[in-house]
Amino acid sequence: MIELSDITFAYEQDGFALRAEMLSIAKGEKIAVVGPSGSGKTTLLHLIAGILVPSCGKVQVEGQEVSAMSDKARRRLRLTTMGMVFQGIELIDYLSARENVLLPYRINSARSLDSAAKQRAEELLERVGLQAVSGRAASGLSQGERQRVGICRALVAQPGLVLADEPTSSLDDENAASALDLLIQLVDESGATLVMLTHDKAQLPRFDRVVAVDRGEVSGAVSGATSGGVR
Amino acid sequence: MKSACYLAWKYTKAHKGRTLILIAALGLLLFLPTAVTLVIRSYDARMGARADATPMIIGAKGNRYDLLLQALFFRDGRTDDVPFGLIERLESDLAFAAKAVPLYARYTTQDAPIVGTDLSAYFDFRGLTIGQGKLPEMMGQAVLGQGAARRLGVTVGDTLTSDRVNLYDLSRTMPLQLNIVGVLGATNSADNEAVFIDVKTAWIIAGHGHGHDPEAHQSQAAHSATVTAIEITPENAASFHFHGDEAELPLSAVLVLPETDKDRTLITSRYNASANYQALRPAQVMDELMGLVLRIKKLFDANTALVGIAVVLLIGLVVALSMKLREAERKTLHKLGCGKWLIVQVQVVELAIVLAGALVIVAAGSAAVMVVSPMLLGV
Repeated sequence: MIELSDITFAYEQDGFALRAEMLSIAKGEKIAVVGPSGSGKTTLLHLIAGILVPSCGKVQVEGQEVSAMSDKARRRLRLTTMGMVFQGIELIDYLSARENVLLPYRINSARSLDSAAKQRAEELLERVGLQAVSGRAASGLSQGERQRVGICRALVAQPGLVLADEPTSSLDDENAASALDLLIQLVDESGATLVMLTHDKAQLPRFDRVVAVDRGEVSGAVSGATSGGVR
Repeated sequence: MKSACYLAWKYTKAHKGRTLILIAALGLLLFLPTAVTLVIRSYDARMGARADATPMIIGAKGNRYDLLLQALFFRDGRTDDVPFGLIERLESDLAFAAKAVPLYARYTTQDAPIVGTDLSAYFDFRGLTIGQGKLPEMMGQAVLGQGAARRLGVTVGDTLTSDRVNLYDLSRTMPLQLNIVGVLGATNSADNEAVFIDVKTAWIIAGHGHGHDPEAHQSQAAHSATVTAIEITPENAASFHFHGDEAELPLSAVLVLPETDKDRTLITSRYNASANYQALRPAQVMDELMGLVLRIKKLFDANTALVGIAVVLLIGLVVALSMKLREAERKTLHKLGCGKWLIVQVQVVELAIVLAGALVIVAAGSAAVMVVSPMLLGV
């Protein structure tokens, strides 16, 4: 599903660089990426998503070499195969909760916003307990509600790959646990691959594997049921 | 583009207040010069048409624009009077052939101009017809333009009273009651808003003539007092008379209808050379007048252009600030897979929505101006 080989990425501004010799993630795996702040976790996620392009090495997603694609092709790949949950939640404030969930359909001309998609959005909102506020503007939702809307948005189009950037970092413990439960449950149901950045070590047993990033070096540790890891 | 339209519409809907302010600002900016242009064009066309239809005006020496507006639109400018005898002198002069129509339009009734004239001659010349009622048959009777009748809420059989010239001067002639005997068919000119009376009735309003009330004579025979009548009735009509030479009674202007261009040239040269009179070719003077107006409009246009530049700069600032504020939105959309230019497209569509709203204001305002502008000046 995902393969990073001999990649290097460096920011021009501060010279920070990320290196990974080999990282393979199989379809349906749930991967936790851990590491201290500023270690390069988000950079790794952005390289997988094609938001950033490595200066050397290869990034492959579903057999396509993301690192060799044009910006347009990488955006298309994100739209068609990936669902993303962001650290800062990042909803469109002037859209309602329902409209935010359906945004992947609105911005992707290849997908049609049919009744099945709308029904799926309603079902997701119902499952996360937001049906009553589905018509409310995102700016009027609480942090917990916004995060649940973000999770629904990432999953509504049933993507094969879900990338989550510390999705529970801005939530209190109770809301964080609930949001994570929901995310893992929905990913399990859809059979999607999950790559999630987290600081919460207590949650690591719920993942198949843990990848550690420290000072720009991607290394691995095996955890959970599935063997393998960073090679 | 579809997603840009969707997001722009949603953004606009979510920020109604801000959008309406922008629409109003842009709408007013575009509407004001449009309205001025429309009004000027409308007046130019209407005033020009009336001037073109009037071959010549003779009046007292003085400001020719005042004389023009007085004679064509019954606006009481500061023009001096000319004597009624001028009519006969013009018509009997052997050097040229012309007809002359007297005008005495110094008074008003409820702000509608009262025009004393030779009614048959004036109506023939202007092509006016009686829509309801009949022409006056005696002094004290009036025919109204349809617009004036509607505005004053009167019809045939009703009465109007001339406005008192000076509320505090009791020695002045009392207002005269006018009996409405006819209403003209609708016209698209100043005649529509005027009250027409015989020139002699106008002189009575001016105090140049008066009547003796027969009842007052009977009851106060010993006094043989002269009582100024405020209503001319069949009973007292015969008692109304003018002291002095009728040829010296005043007119505000004379409409002259020369038979040929040569006659017009002769009359122009004759009267422009005199010490007391001036002869105008209305179309020519109207062109000069509109030229002045257009010069003032150019100043207004320059002012509008400067204000427009300021507004466009302000809108640019609003857009720039908005883009800065929406940087997070742009980044989110990019991460989700949208192009970097989507937010720019969204803002272009938002501006298009604002512009469309502004154009609706301009269209509605312009339609209102087209309806209202003829009523404002009564031209």
